[in-house]
Amino acid sequence: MDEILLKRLSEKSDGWIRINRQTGFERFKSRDIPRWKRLSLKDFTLPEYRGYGRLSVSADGADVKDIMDTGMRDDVRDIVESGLAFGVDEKFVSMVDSFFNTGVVIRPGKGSGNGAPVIIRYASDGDLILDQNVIIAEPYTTARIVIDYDDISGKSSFHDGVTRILAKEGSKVELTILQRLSDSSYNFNSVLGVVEDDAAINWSVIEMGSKNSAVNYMTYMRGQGGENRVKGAFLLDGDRRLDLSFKVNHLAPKTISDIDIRGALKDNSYSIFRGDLDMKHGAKGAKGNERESVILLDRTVRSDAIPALKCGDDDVEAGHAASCGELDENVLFYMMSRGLSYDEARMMLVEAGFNPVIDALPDDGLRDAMREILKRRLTGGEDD
Amino acid sequence: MAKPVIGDIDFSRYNMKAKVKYKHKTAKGLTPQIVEEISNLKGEPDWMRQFRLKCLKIYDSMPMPSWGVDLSELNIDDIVAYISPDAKKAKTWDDVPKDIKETFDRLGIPAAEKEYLAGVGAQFDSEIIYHNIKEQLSKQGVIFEDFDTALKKYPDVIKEYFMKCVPPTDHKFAALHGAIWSGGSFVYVPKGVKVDTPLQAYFRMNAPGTGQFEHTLIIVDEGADAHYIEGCSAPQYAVSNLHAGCVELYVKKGAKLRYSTIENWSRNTYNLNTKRALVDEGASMIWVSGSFGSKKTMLYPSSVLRGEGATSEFTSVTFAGNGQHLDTGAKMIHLAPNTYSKVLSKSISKNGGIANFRGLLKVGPKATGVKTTVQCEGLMLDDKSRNDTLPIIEIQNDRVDMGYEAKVGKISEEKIYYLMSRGLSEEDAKALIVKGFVEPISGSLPLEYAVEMSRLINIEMEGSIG
Repeated sequence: MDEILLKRLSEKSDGWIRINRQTGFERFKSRDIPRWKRLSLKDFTLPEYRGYGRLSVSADGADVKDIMDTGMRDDVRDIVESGLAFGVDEKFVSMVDSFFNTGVVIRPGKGSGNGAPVIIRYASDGDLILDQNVIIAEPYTTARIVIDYDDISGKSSFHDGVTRILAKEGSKVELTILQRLSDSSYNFNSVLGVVEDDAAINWSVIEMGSKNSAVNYMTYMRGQGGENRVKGAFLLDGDRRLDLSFKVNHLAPKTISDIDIRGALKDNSYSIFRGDLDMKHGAKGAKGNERESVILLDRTVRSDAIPALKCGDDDVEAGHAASCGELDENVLFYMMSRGLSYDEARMMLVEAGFNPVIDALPDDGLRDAMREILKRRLTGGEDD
Repeated sequence: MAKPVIGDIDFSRYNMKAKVKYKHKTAKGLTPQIVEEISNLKGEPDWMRQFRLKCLKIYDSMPMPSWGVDLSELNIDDIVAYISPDAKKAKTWDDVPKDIKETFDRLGIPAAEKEYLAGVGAQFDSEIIYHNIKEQLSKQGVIFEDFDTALKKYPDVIKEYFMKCVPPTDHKFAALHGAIWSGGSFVYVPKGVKVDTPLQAYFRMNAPGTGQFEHTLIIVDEGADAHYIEGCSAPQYAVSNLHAGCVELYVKKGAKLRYSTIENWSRNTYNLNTKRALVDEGASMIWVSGSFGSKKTMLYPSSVLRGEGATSEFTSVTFAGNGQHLDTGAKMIHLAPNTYSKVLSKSISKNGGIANFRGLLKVGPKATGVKTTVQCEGLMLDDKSRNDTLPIIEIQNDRVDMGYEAKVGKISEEKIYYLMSRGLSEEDAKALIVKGFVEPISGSLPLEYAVEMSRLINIEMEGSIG
């Protein structure tokens, strides 16, 4: 990925997007690949650029545009050029800003929240997916959107994505992001949400795939009465590693956030959970809550939690809880005494933790697919 | 104005500036010459002199910490590393020079010793001026000496343990401590000996623009039991003072140690202290910590649970007022099976003060059967202040039961309203609620210290409304 490629890509884009690719490239050039302490990228090299052509959209009436066909209208500049800090790392965000090879712009309509959800599917056959997504929810619109990063061949993929969401006054965006890329893939995903007066952005996050995955969700609650609710679940097995982080900035009064993450770790897997609640001065009456619970299924797993609770105003309520441990022996014993095998009992308990997240998926097919993956991974699949 | 719930006290007793003659005072700053000068004045063995110089090299090679509190205003070149009062170490208070004795009298140390302490060490600036232990305890083999004496009397023991628990390479201020440490206490409790009443050390910084770098080394041998209390204060000056002490605790098999601190440094002091305990099989380490004073504090007492069945509890209260940034916390490092730890941290911030909890909870791959809980509570008394909770939790095996909880909020208006409806003024009501908030800590201190803490809270709470 270099200047020549940038020029080639820019020729296809017009106006300010070309400039945006250019400034993205300046940022990209000036940064090194990050050296993370926990999810180490020691032997990591950037992939060769390739185009991507497997995007499929099921929109059912909502206004969804392929970013490569029509580009971005001026109305998305607000959020794309917001300058707000977010993302797993500036290197990976700027890589998408300058070299994105796919993506969508979604403009929810009024009432589209009740119909079928918008489903954006990035299928991967060992592909390079650099997706740039923008969701602009105009005042009092609602939307249910699913972005699905799905593996179709078992080949190693590279995904680096950026999704920016602007929820204007009174709008509501329910976004589900599923990640089920192949076990040897790299996954980087940076999501930015800006919540204005009385708007809501709710996230369901399911992380099931990839060998190395770093995911960051950043919210700026800059309008009074805004909401940001997150439900997430992850399951790691084998040598897989996940760095999952959420940061919520409460900038305005009476904003509400709630983060609820369930995880399960098997084999030699390693999860890092970061949750930042930042209650800024002036966020009177704000409420923030965060919970993470991880079930540890093998002796060799590792689980880190780095929850931060920052409080710059007194008229707020903020709380954190994290727990981790093995499945309760007594419960397992009870279930086995009722005729379940050890594996069945274990699986049922883990599933029980995941159910609230899976149940919230807006599509039957997806719910079944997730249950299937969960089952396959929990019972060890072909590995054991 | 309403009367605080517990009688008014005179805050000036912490602020007394004794006019004292000084015997030795090094030049400002930190050079190999100054380090050698300190070592020569103390007549130390060569290994210690070499060790100090090695630490200075490490100090010079390490960067300032880039996290925690802002240390940009702290200039080591303006700090006098060593300043000793013109007084010989005394065994009775009558032998302590009048001005110095007066300071400790007003702090209540000699009176406390008579009533309920097993031994007292008192440090004035860089040197211990009084050190005494009840005869009955020394007959049982309990050693309680100032550090210089201990280095002369028990050189082998000191050499074996000194800065092994906190190596100078640990961080920049541990290296600084290694280079210019002075004063402090050495405690040894022999196998099976139970010291019922607490031993106390009191550290007083009197001179402006100086540093205090006392070293505390406590070895509680197998099956023994001890309680150590540490108090610190200093008068207020316009220039910065620096406190970079080091506490090394060795709790051997089946032993018990309780270490309590009431810290009330003046608001011009940088308190960059290191405390660590190595806890062996079946032993128990209890930390009780109250941080009220100083301008900036970075203090994270840690327990390394390296023996099977070792336990540790940490209970602390941090009160950050105007101009203070108190970054405190605890580290619990589980390295052995069936170890247990519990952290309870309460912090209060008011009047623009910043209180941080920063903790590390680590469970190693071999530490199976671990139970651990961390609980942090923050109380904000106004909207100018800050309260941050920043723990790191690392779990490296599955046989762990970990729970962590944190919450921050303000005093609920209903509670104040209720108390006021029962006849309390708003100020009294708030003071009462704050005292209730810190009750788990004051409850685990000896009565006299709990009263002292309650007084400190009263002082802090006065005029906090408006």
